[in-house]
Amino acid sequence: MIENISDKVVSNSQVETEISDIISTVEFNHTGELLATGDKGGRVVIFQREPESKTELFSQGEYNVYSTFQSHEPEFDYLKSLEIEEKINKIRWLPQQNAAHFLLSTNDKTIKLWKVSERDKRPEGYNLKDEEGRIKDISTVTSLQVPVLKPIDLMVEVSPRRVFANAHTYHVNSISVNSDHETYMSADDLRINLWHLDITNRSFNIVDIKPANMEDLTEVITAAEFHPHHCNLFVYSSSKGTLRLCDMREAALCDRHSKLFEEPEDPSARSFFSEIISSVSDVKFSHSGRYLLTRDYLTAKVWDLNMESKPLETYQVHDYLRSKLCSLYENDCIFDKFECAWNGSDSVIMTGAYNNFFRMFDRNTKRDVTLEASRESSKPRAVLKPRRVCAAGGKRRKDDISVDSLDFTKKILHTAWHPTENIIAIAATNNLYIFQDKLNSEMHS
Amino acid sequence: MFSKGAKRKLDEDEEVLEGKTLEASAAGGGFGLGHEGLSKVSYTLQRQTIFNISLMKLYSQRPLNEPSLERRVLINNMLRRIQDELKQEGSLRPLLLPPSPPPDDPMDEGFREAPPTFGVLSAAVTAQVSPPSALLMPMIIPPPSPHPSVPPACPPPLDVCLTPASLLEDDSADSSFCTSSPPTPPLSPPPLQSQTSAAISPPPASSSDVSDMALRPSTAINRTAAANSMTVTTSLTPTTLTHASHLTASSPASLGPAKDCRTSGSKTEAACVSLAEGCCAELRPMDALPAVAPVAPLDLYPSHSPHSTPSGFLTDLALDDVLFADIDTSMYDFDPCVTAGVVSVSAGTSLTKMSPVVTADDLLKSLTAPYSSPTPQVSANQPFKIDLTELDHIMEVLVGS
Repeated sequence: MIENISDKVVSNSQVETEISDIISTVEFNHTGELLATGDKGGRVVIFQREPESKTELFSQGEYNVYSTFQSHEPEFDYLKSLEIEEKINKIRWLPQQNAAHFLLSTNDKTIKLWKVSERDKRPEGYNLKDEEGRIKDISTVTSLQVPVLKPIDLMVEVSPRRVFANAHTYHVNSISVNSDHETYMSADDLRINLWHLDITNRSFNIVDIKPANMEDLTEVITAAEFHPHHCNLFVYSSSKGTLRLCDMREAALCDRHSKLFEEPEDPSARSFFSEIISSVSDVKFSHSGRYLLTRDYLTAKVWDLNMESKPLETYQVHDYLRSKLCSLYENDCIFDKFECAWNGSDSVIMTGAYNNFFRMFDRNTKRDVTLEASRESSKPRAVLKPRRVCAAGGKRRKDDISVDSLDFTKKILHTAWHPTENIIAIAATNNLYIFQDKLNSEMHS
Repeated sequence: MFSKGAKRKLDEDEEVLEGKTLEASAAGGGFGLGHEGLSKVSYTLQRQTIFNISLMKLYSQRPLNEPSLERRVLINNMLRRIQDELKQEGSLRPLLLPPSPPPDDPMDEGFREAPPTFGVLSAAVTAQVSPPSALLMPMIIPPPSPHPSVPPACPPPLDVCLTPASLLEDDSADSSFCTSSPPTPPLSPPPLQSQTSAAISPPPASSSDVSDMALRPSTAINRTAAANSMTVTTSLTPTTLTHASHLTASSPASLGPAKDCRTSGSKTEAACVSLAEGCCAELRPMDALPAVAPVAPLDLYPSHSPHSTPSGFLTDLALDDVLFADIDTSMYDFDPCVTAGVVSVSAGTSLTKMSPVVTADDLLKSLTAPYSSPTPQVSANQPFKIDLTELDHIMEVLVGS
């Protein structure tokens, strides 16, 4: 599986945006037909997969811009005298229930529900309005006509449906739609709220780890997600490297977890930075709901829901950075929040790294690969070459890149995997790369 | 006194040193090693370095938007952890800490947006400043804690360091403490502090000197941070230097030697470095000789500021008071107010102004290279490499009176 992806990945499309438009989140919808990205400028760009074409071999699966809209605007918190960034922290699609698509987008404080719908017809021939919509002078109306729908060019309309505001004191880091399709949760640094999708003026606090005295604060919530099948279960991760599985049937306020997943610290690897690098930056349920994938600074871990004592598998993402932690602490890179993703069959995991590298790990064969998302090295439809980073002092092969020459400003924090196919979306600063398994596309064409 | 030849020799020593530490760091494998792989002192130095970086991180940046809580909590935990360690090592402290204290201070200064006017503050001014800080007092007062590093012979300052408000009163009342009045402004929240200092500062000459000294190191640090390379020791040196000068300045008899230090420091960067090392190491003898007269005030003055400064920010950030309440004062040995004393003492000699600047910049150059190596523990061995004559000299300066 990994081999297919690594050696035969096709660079499918590259979309370049302006320099300031750093992509801050990437998310496929449930069919994989649409792909949404959010950026630091508060915009959401939706890409749609083009229908298959018989003339062009590779056109199948190509994603093109479908719609762009401004989701959030910068605001100002007058109480704290602080700016509220418009940056989109997370996007989540709602399961599709009619012709329209719905998505939730959030910045640090406010969550919005958007409706994305298509329009290809327009009503014409109103009696009281002219073509521009102006009210006609009644005296000029001498005859009545029946308005008709005329076909027009396809228009994609995006409209705000709900605004869920004023429920978060801290920064919202996660939103997750429940499998009941009616509720969703939003997590900030210290609290998790449960919302009904139709009700904006009320939410229920389901987790609150804020200590009575903020001086006692030593731990924050870093990510949270609902179980994909059981609407009563959700998991949240913390800055101390723990995962807590909560069952909403037990109590209204899930301050007490049902399960605590935590790996005992290896005393030999203990350092000043142990806690920081163990902070979980992302947690994702597998599609099956059996496993949890977490990412911390140096590793990706797969946990079995039935084993709390230690992770099932631990994958080193960039262990060569272990000796550089102090530098990474000083330049703040150590606080970078890398996300992680499962493939459709839960057999491969993917996560980002520095230097525009991203990593894939095959859970069955235990093979791993490092790939690079960059305009220089990957032309459209070119096959990606595996990259290798050699640790300082190690033997260096041709094309290897040394740890010291890694570019820490080019980081791949946000990745997404198509829910069923081997198509991945990689956000590298302000570029979005969509790679596709070549075998896969040949099979389909 | 250093002759030119001696300076050059130090220069070479420095290069050799850097080379050695480079090798050591390449072999050592970095901070992650923990206690075993490293000598106790280099571990302490690392810890101090991380402590400094953490402090700087917590207080230097004031972005327009709300900073990440996660980041703040993690940095705070780091500081707490280091502090717990320090507490546990309480008995060993005199042995372990002296090499490290000075590095702390440039950060201390660096995160002060506007350095208050120092030695020049009149008692009246202090009185003006004190109301706001007195208001803050209830939040600031740290739980009383024993300060092992404060010589038992001097109880009043001990009180002073526990209650910032009384510190203010003491300062304004006691004219002999005049130089120590500056630490009061930091008590008030930073914006206020900058206002007051801007409003107050009457004699521009000395105050600008101080602000120069206070600001340069921090800019240097920022620059290096952006360059992605470790330049932790850069921060060490300017302070150590000033520290050296405040040591000497505190005892007027040793003013001459102090100037000497300055001169040599300002002339060659490497000399600066080694001088700084010298200061680091020389603190040990100092601790060993608590009876020596000049030493006592040195320990006292700093003991105010560490509390006032961090707690001032703490109230601002609503962070952990306790974190800083118990803090080991020896880490804050260098104090702006004492520096100010130096400035006022040697005012007119451009040396004072020059030397820290030169050091910061030059050190940056000289130390960037080693820090691009995986392990930034470059200065680990340095305290041991002091020229004996230099040590003698410093002792002379110390005990000179």
